[in-house]
Amino acid sequence: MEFRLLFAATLAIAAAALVIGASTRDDPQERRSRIDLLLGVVMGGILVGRITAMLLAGTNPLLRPADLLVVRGGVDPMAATLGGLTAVVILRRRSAPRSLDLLAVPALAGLSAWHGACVLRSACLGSPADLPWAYAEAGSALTRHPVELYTALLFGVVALLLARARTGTPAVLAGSAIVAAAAIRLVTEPLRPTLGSGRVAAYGFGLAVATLATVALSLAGRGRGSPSVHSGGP
Amino acid sequence: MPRRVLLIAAVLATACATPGPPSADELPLITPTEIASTVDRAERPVVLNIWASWCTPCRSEAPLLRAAEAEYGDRVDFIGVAVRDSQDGARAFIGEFSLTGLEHYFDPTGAVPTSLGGRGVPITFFFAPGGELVRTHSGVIDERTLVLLIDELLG
Repeated sequence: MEFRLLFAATLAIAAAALVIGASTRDDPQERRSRIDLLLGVVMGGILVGRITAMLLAGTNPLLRPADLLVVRGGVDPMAATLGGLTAVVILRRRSAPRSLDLLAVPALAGLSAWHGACVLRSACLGSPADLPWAYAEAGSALTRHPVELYTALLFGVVALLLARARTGTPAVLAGSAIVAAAAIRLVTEPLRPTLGSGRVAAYGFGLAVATLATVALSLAGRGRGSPSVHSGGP
Repeated sequence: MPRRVLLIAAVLATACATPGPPSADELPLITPTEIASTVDRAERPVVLNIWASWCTPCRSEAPLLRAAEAEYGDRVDFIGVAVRDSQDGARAFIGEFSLTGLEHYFDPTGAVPTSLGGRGVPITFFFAPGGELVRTHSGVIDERTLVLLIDELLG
């Protein structure tokens, strides 16, 4: 059992829940509702991401259901995002666009904590670098980019920026968060140790689709003049 | 009477028989001494993965090992050792995940990982050229860790 991975995941959920708590201080019922939704999104994301990772690796989840539990074996991030979005649509139906906006900042905060928790897992390092802040694996002389810390920092900055954002169109804030997440993973991916070119193409594709969808939603909403939606940040 | 003689002869013949060479597709048996000798002789870094067909986490990392062998196989030796397994199960596992790029051995007692200080499956050992054990990773290995540790071996 990889307890450090479990601890990192718990930390990520706690960070997201903390942001939800800060933005719903006066409404315990709303806080519970949003945290329930957050947990649903996390479960949906992990499930769909894990199934996709298994299929991509050539394992049939129906024949090997126990493999689903080996989350350490891989979770496809793009599929996990779609799984999370689908979970919101299933759980909230008509209010899904607004719910997505309310989860945008907590999700980014959670992702920031998840990547930052690399410190606890000794899993921050990427490609070799001789920058002043680069450091080496224990027992190694080769200094490397702390790529997961860069990622955590970028997610944190975007979360802060979006926490102050207001938008007149439902789902545009969530779309912006997805665009930012895809862009962050795209720019940091070349610094990660991966087989082949990693997931650069997948993140590029995700970024393009999310950008188009967000711009389209924004333009459509501008025409309708919807009421302003706050990001749900603290 | 002749039947009894034949029966005794058959029992004696069976008892005295020595096992023949393994069939062409059987995984060769390996002992701790032999694996130590193999990695000591290696002129390239060695990634030694301990697996079993009954081990669910091993199934998760098998595709990763195949991909790593495809990318680094020209610079790193990849060895797999099936432990506490059956020959049939081990061969089916190799076939299912197309792990034919790795050099596989069979260790029915699990003595090889124990001799290297490892317990349980999966375990991945990373050896520098000449046989120095540089790192041991217990449990399922992820892509980042595998590539980073290989990168460290290649220096």
